[in-house]
Amino acid sequence: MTLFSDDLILLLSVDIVSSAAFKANSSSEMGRLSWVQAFETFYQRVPLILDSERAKLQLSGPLDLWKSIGDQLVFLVRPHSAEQLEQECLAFVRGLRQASQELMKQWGFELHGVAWAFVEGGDNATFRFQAPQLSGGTGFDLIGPDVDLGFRLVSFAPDGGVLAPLSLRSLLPQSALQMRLIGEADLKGIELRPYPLLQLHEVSSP
Amino acid sequence: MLSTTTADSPIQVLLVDDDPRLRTLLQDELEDEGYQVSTAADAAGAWDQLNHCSPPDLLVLDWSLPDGSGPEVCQRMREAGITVPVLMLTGHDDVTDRVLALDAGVDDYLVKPFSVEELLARLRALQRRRWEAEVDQPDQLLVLGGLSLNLTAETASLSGSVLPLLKKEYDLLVQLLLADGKACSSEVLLLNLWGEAGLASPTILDVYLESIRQKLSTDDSSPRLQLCADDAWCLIEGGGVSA
Repeated sequence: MTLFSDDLILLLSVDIVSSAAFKANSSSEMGRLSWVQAFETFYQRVPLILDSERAKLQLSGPLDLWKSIGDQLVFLVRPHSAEQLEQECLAFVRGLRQASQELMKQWGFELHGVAWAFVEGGDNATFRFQAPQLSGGTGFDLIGPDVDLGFRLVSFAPDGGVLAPLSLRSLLPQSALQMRLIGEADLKGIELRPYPLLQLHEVSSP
Repeated sequence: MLSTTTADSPIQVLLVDDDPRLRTLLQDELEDEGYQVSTAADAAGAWDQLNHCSPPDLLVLDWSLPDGSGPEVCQRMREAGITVPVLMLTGHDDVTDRVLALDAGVDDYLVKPFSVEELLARLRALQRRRWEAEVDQPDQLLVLGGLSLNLTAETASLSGSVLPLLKKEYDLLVQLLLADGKACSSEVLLLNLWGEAGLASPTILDVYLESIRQKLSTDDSSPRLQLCADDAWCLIEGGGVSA
């Protein structure tokens, strides 16, 4: 396992599977308001469900939303230990699965996500803005190859599941979560080709 | 261990269309004809299957998909070295579109509405052309215990059943089988499979070895993957799997 760094940032991204198709079908079948309501449910329920799962694991404080980009919500955590990192990922895996099932039942779409971590600084720069609107309201932005990698993985995540990059494998104690190879993909701008698609699973899950 | 034979398995078709009714109809018709059919509703699903599973023998691809176009999928496939014959289904019938599709790597083109009989005939023709191209190249197999790798078709089987492998899982098994029981160092495996990019991340080898071990563990006739020297791996005959 890689030595844990105090400067580690964990990003947790969740978005709607095939949202463009969902909007297109909803518009023609149910009228525009239907998909707007569905998206509102997504924006409201996902943070609540994730916070609930975090509370069950005694993870304190609310989950901070870093960015909202269309149908994608990206949360940011600064874990203090490898164990907390794993617990945050575990809560995210559980919460995303639950939210996906709930939204599938209510609206007919699923969610998928990516969890990835990297050290602030080094190859990844943090930009702080005096005008918060430049960063979508958060006051800062993260830019760098490790940040990009997670966003490249988003579209490959399975329905109801969470992908993680290779680097997370050496950061996780893997006592509560394991990473299973489920596929490969060529990711734009990523030298390692094909890139392995690793899904996070609870250790006890089949 | 290296032997030559001819593979004989059902023809696998990947059917990609966002219209669920047409997809079901065509799947039924193709299965009635003896094809083994998998389906996808969009470009991401198609790409997912092309990357995650053993490649199909034929691809039936709709032009209009919710997240991209058929020609884009085809072009991306060809750029990735996937040579599966592609039959495109489309409502576009002008010369410009035909040229666009053919230049993207499509092998044949069928304009909607079409008869199922014509679709089946075109698929037979595509498969025939593929067989004719391959007829002078008998399959080369690497065999160890119940595991067999077909180097010609780039497929794998375990005790006669298809063993779904990812591209690098297959490549890794080829390396280990070609070593014929001798130790392959992690460094050499990383370099041969991923080049310099792989050396930067040795974790990747652990990931693939773990996945292969999992897949081989389903059958008693599987060869055994084991650490046989300091940081070196080998695949040897014998039931079960050891760490």
